[in-house]
Amino acid sequence: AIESALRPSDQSVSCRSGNRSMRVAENERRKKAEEPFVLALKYFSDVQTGTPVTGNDEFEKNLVLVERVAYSNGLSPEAISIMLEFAMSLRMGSSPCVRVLKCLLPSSVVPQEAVVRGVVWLNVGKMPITTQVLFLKWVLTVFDMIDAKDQLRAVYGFIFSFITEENLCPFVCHLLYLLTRKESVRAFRVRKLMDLQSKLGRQPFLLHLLSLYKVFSPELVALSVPSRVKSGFKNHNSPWKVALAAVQRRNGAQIASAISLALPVGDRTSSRKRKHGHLQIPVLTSVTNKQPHTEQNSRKKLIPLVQIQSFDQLLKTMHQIELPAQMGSLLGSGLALQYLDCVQEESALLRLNFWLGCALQEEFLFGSDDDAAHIPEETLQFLDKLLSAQHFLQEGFSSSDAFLYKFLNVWDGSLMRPQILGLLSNIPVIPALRKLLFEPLTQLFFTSSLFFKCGLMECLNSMLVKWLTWHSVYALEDDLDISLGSHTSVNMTLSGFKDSVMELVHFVGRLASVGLQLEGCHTLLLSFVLDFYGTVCDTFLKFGLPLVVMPPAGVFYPAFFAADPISLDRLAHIMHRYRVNLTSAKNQEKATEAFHISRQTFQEFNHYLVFMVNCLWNSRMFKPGMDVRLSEELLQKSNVPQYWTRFDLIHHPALMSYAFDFHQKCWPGRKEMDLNSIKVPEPWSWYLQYLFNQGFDGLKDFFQSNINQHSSSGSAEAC
Amino acid sequence: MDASEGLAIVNRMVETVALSDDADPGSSTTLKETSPTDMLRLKQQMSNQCFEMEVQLNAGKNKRSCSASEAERDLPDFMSELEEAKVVHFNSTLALHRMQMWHALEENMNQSDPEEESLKFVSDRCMFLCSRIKKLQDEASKLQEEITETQKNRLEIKRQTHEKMKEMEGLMSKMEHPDSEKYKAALEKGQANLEKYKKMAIMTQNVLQSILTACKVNWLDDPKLQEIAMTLEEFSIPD
Repeated sequence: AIESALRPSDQSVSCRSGNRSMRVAENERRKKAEEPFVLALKYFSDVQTGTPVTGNDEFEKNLVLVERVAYSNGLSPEAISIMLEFAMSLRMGSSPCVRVLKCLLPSSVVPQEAVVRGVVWLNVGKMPITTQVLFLKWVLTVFDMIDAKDQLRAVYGFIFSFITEENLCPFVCHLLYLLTRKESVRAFRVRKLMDLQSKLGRQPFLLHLLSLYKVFSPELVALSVPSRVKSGFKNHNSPWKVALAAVQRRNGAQIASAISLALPVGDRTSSRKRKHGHLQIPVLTSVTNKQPHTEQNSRKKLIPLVQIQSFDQLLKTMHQIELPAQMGSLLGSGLALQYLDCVQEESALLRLNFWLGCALQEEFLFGSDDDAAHIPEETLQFLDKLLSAQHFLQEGFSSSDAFLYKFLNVWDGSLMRPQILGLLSNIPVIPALRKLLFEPLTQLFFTSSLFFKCGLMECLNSMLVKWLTWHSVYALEDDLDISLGSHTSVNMTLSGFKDSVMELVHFVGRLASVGLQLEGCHTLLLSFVLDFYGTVCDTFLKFGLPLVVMPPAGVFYPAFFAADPISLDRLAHIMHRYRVNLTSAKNQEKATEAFHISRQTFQEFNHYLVFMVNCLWNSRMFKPGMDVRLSEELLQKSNVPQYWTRFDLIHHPALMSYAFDFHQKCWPGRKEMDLNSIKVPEPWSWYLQYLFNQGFDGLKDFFQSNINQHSSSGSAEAC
Repeated sequence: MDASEGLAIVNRMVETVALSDDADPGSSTTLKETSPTDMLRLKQQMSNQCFEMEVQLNAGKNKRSCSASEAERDLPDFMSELEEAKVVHFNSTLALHRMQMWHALEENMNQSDPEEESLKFVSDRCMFLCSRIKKLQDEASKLQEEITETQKNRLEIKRQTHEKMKEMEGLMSKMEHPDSEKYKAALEKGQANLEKYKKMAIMTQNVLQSILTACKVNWLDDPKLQEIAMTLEEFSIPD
């Protein structure tokens, strides 16, 4: 009895103590798990110089522990500092270096002091060359994760001194490219690079660095650098790429998502198996890590761009702004783009284009084939952000244009279609359009679906509008040189520009003709084609470009024979606009001798006009001399009575329903439909009114401007 | 004359020689006497004919290569002719088909049968949809015009911004100190001195960097040395 009385209270006490002991045990267990890692780090920070490596079990155990932590979650900044110091100081010789460097996967940031120490040790110690190369590759791989860059810039000269070592040269050039500012460009450094070039040849890594130097100080670099160096820097991240991606994925929820690996270009000979990297726009950071404090003795206080929060602030401090170290981050912020556009700093643009080009190439041109069908969400978001940046600036980037020319040759037409077509529409006018753009597009067009055809029509329409808008704003009256983008250096004369526009219009005309034939005059495609010609017919009056191009027969006639009234009405509207543009052009020509529309254009227009009026108004179809040639006997065989009236306003396929409706409304009692009875003058004018009231403004404008109403049979007033 | 003809002639000549051989088996001496001259004559004829054949062959070759390049030049013209013919054919066929189809529809509308009912229904629905489409298209084109107008204005502002920035830069570079005339000489001398000492300072910095590099010391461990070494890239006076 006493036992049973005791037990419950015992249980409660033991429960509570049991709970407490569980928590304590848990904490102790956790501490025990961390303890070995902390002890391992302590080992590496305290180990004496000269301790042997071979046969050293304690060393092996600790290193394995560190590696395990590194490959699972990455190393903390302190751990990186300790391990890097251990490796670069060569306290246990150079044999453990490679292993340590390979496991230096950061979990969040890399402290820049550690990197600076590493650089200094690189000079001091006698590391084998391959290990030195590995260290530099590591710095380049984690460059975006280094928390600040001001100390690294302070040791620019020391880094530069490694450039003479042939094996290190490519990676040193890459690192310098990322760190260079205007103040870093010194005459003796330029001289050194030129000497190296004469020794090693025109290597791309030297050219990149020299072109950046040239942007900062053109007077110091006399060499002519090609505007687009084909290849980038050498691949540097392969030892860490896969592991780093895994670590980042695991830590994804914890760290800010924008601190990721923006991968610069690799070379084509690298491994076949490649994963899609994280294609993200880096976050905007400042170069220094210190809190800004007022310095009395500095004459020019530079404010990092990341601290500018509003447009007013931007305006006030316009000339004191310091650009971030990673130019790609400018794409993410509207304010940053605004600043870039205003200030037009060439070095920033050069580096931005370089980064963008590398990112796009790496992601899409060297991607793996196994998951080619599935594009990760982040990639689409990246492209969307790029598109909105281009839309904001109202022009494209030269690197994205260059990427598109290459990509079009391998595109299948459906992957990321809206984004690619959007980027395409931002391509500026260039001389070599036919080879770079039109040929691959032709191939894609004729082998693609209806929706791609429509999408491409829309894209080319948008491209034309952008060219014309640019021209109408930037081409001044007496200035024949038009610069085509604030970032491009290509200038074109007015006639060159007109030629390019004409080439585009002819190209689209050809695509449209054959496309309509292939798709059997599909109404959707016809609608997009007519949209395009809706832009073309108004080039003179709306955009001020003295150019008139008529649609080809392969577009005009399918539109005229369309079975839906919308297309017919649009065609009428377009013809009306052509007439307005042509008459205005003719008047201007008489007045100012500004430009000359060729006789052929007028002839073509008149030909179409006469055809339309004859068919629709005068019921005179299938007459000899028209483009639609059908022999008399074939027409007889078709058993269609009065075939010459078959495309007039009453019998036209698009308008017949309206004729029926009108007939019923006009003569509700009549049982038999006789459409020819509408031809009588009284119902005819009612019918016209009825038709135009259906919203067919195009037809209304067309007939009002072209038909001389006073004569009973309409005669077209030719231009 | 071409190769085969030439060969035939040679064959005939050989035959005649053979026949002439056979014809006079007895008069071998006369044959032997005449055969060298005959042989020579034959040889001469054959070489003439070979030459002619060669000329013919070469002429044929040249003609062929000439036409290949000509064909390439004419190719785009032929292609566009072909395309034009296709277009005309397509348009004519389209016109014919549409005409026949809608004539048949018109005939059908006159017969009151259930088909006519459904045709009427479909045609009414089409008209309704067309008017809706027209309204939407009008709205869309109005909006598109506004968008284009806005884009034009934005682009104009961008251009003006760039112009103003250039003007500003020009003004800033031209900004002179009010008493510049007076102190011009002094200013120039001062600037020349500044340049000289700046060059010296930069060179000294470079030399010190090189010395530190060459000594292969870890200057980070000495606080004073570190302080100095970290300032070797800086030059507080801007260019």
